[in-house]
Amino acid sequence: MSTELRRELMPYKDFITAEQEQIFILKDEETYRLLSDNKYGPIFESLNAGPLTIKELVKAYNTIADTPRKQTSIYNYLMDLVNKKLILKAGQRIISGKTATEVLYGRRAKLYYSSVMTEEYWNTGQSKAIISKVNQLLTVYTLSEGLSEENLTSLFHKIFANFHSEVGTLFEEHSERVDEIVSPLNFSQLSRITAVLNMLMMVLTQEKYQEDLSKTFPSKFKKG
Amino acid sequence: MSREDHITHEPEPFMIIEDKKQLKAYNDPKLVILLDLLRKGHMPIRDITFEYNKRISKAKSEITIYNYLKSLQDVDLVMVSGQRLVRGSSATTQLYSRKAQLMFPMTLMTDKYWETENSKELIEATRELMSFHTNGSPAESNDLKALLKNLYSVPSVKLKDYVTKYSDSLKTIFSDSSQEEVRDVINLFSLVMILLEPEKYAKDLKKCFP
Repeated sequence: MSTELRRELMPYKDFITAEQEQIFILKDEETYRLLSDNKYGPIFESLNAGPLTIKELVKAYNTIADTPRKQTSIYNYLMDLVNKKLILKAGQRIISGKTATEVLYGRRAKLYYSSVMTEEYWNTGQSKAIISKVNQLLTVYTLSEGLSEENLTSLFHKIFANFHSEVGTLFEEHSERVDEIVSPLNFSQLSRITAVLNMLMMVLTQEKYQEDLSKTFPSKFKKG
Repeated sequence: MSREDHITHEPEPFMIIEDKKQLKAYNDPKLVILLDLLRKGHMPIRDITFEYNKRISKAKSEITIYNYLKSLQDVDLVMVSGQRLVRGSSATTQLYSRKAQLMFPMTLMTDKYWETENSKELIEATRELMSFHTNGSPAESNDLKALLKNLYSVPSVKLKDYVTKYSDSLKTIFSDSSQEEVRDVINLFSLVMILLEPEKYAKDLKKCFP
């Protein structure tokens, strides 16, 4: 029997110390890019079923990934994700008869979805520049004069705040079923689904935005 | 050393990106940097590599940048736009440029998308997730497909007309925007377009979520 096989067959016990969150919202572009990157995707996929040691992760990664990678490369990718707090050191594995333990890595959350447009985003310079441009496009589109950027910001703020709250409730109240639906999906499929949910939730609750819409486009919503 | 640029292809004023392969390249973080920096105009690979490495932490070689450019050329987002002749040198250097000065990504799902296998999976997952949200029975797959197709076609069709009609204004508005900013602006603009025309999808919406 090879040493490696013997090691694999040794009884062990996993001690999980970090609790996995239900949802984690990615709030910045850089983190969003990491999850969309092909080299990181298989790490999340491999850890879907639960925490793994680096050796187990390398094995699982190379079954999923299009391009097989060396353990050193996968370890470096893993550390990028640990540094970004997307993957956690979830616990330790104790192998019978061995003094050294092995680190177990796990997903920070069952579900990651990206939305840079969170509460704090609407106060940033970046959002102001974007709103100003959307405003210019809408001025031409609606043939209106002097649309208020403040009203427009308030409208978007409400749309996205409503979405985050609704999707949060949905995922928390039906966590098990949601988990079954979304866990086989890769990050780009998940991004697509969240975009569609956002759109549907927005049109289903249009009345919530009526006041902001009337304020932003008074000529389109003249009374009578 | 004095030099002379011989430009054979000027970029078009604008283009709408809706082809799957083009969108994939456009959304690739390492390639979008190239599209951004090529807004400066026609550039040889040496200058492109220099500018690219100023924007990232780990420097890339000219060969890597050449491969990135090739990927963008393959999907028609970048072109060889001419040649640079340096006086005293017998060889010329290729110049690269964007295919269009302004690029508008149609990240919205087009009519074609709703006929793909991928969209079926998306519709099935959405049906169930939305039924949790509305506490009702899941919408019929075909009804939900019709609603989504309709919802996304509002901004999709209007955006194309808009971009064609107002290309000069758009050039001014987006003169200093990064590709990511263009994408975010277009996404938000599309949401308002949809909210401004509720009558276009009201019937489908009611059918799915009575």
